[in-house]
Amino acid sequence: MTHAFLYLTACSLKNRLWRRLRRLREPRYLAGLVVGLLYLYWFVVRNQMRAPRRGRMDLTWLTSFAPDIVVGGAVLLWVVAVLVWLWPFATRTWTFTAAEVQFFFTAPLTRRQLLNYKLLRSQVGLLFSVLIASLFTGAARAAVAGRWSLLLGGWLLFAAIFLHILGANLTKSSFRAPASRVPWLAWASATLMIVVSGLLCGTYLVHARALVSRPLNDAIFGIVELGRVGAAPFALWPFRAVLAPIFAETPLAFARALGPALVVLVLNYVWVLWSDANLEDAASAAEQRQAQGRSAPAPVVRPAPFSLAARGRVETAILWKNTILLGRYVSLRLVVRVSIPVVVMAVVFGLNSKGGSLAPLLLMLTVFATVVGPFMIRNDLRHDLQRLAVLKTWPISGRELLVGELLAPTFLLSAIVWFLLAVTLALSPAWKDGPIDAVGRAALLVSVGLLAPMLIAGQVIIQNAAVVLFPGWIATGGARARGIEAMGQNMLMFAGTLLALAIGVLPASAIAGGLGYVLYLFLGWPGLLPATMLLASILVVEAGLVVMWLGRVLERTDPAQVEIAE
Amino acid sequence: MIVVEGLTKMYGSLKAVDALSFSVSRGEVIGLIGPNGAGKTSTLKCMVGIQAPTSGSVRIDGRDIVTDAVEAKRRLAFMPDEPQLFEYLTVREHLNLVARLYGVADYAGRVPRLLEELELSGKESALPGELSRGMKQKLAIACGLLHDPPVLLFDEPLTGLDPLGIRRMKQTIVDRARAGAAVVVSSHLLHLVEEICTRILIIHRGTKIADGSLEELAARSDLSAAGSDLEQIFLRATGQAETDRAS
Repeated sequence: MTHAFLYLTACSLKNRLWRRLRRLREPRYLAGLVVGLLYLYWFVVRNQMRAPRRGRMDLTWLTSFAPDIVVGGAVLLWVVAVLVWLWPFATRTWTFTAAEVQFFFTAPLTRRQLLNYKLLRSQVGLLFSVLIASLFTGAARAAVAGRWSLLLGGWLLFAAIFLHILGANLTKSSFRAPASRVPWLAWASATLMIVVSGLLCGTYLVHARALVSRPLNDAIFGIVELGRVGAAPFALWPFRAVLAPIFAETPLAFARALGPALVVLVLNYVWVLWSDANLEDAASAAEQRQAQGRSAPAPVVRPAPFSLAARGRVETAILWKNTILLGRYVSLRLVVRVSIPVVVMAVVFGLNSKGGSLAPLLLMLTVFATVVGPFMIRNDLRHDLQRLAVLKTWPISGRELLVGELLAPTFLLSAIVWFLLAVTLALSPAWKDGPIDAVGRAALLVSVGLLAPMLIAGQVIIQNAAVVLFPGWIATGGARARGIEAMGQNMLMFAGTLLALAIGVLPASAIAGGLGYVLYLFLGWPGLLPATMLLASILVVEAGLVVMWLGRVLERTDPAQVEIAE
Repeated sequence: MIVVEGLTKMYGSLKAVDALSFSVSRGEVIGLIGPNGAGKTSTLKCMVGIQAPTSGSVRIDGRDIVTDAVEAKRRLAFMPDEPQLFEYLTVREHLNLVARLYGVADYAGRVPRLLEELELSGKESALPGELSRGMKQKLAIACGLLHDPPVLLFDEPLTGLDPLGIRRMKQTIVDRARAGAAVVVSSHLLHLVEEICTRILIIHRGTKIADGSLEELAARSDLSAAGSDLEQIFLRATGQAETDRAS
């Protein structure tokens, strides 16, 4: 049966590559690829090539810090593992496609064989993610220079993480059964995780007071040091084992490190295979979702945000529709997901806050909402493209459709940013010792408040432009590329968006920046406001031109030619 | 009301629709039939602006679907074979959205009548995921009928409907035509076409091979042997076309 799965995986990979190559016959995809490759070369590869030539790449820093990085990384992996275990919802690691359900669930296959197939398929995505991550981190250059352990070790690490997430989810599913029917392996693995976490928590709690009293940088080194104290090295052993091959300097060292890493990998693999009792239930749920034609959770009816009159601008109708969309998919899961980084940041800043000021945290959240928010909030054309045939029957122009689609995420994120800035402004009297007086702080925050919506709108436009121009490259609808195997794709998209945003914003910023500097010399901080308004005006004009052009492209887009990304 | 002239649609090198011309007047119900892959759905999609014709033109009430798309689309409704609904909007919200898009000022009064006509009363707050396949089809049709368009295009309108729903749907189509709408029905259900259509258009490999009322088709010399049974006429016409093609 392995041969059949290998055959399917190889054929799928070959056909997918072939289809993507054929897509390059369209000039826009070819142009997109050329720009993407140029970007990768110019900003990533070229910088790394400037390092000393092959064989003489300076990796001494890596060598000298490797022991600390391994221990620190092991602690981080342990935290990730704890989060995976505590996460109240199962991930979609085992989602089967409609075709897989149709062919495999009716075929004489064991659940174990199905699981092996999913593990096999995941390796393609993992390998791609490792390669992309290696380009951005310099590991690719190091591999060329002889440190191929970075790539191989990275793949091992990703595979181990993937297996552990799958095993943890299967084990958690087991605990939904009555206690008497929970398999012994589920109890054993949960107990092991509790023991490991108990040992590590004990170590860190004993030294918590000393850690908190140290500055952030020292505290991080303190965390690493504590990973070598008492029982912590034993508890961290599996995490250190899967990290160690990455930092092996020589083939011999790699071979030595490979043994323990493979032991951990194989143990996780066996654990997953023996935990497959609930795979069928989970897969059945996936099958049901597939049958219902939706990969996202079911929407919950909640009141519409505002009532829609029968007459008025059509853009408002699309805003209304997309705001309803967001409201009906907000769930505890989403709130937990968004809250985790916020809580982590709050703890980190709380530990280091001398005056108890929340301002740095609030400003960081503002940046987060502005830069990352447009990637997370997708109630626009990224969700609607699969309904393009319906949208094209509406009696509205492409520009009206596009503007309507852009409004919901832009308004929502702008409202969040303005709220954060208003709270920051309200708390600002607390920073009496700061370098900027009250008027200056107000001017700065108002400037940020004016510019943030422009930057948000800019990113939303870029994301929607990517969907219109390269529908085959962007995940649309409720389905999104998730997990570590999709990390490479997400990194490329993020980098591409920031590059496009920089191209759009930098020239205008240079003009407005010059004006702002001159005005600052005469007026002080309030001089920023006219410059900000000039910058905002230029960005509005730019956005308007892009939207008009994209609207025309959208009108010419044939839904039959829109190849939805997998 | 509908004028299609020299409509051609290419997908790469494949010619799905080949210089197709026909017109539909007010009150007329035209049945668009043909074998699988004949180009029926491509024709409908070009007629409603989902796809742009490779060449030729489609005019809806005098408005070109390409150059005056917004005004043309305001005058038509397209009911696809697979209802395309927003899974997060309730039945009432779908109608509310359509009302705004088409500027139906008195939609509040129309909605109850329409829901009653399509047997959706009581389902106003339901999401599409809570509706059966047939009900989703009815909701898509309700959305199409809300703005009372003078041009209606149905692609397999009876798919998923129960016997009572089928009877009501046929009556709805006929009633709209009697009220002055120009209707195009694409279907493989020849008895439906025979029952409600005033004219039949048979297409094969993208080209028109027969056009006329059932009586006119039956009277054609090359089809007269089929009698007045549409199924026989259809088989003979498409078979004849294949023979002509082979020779």
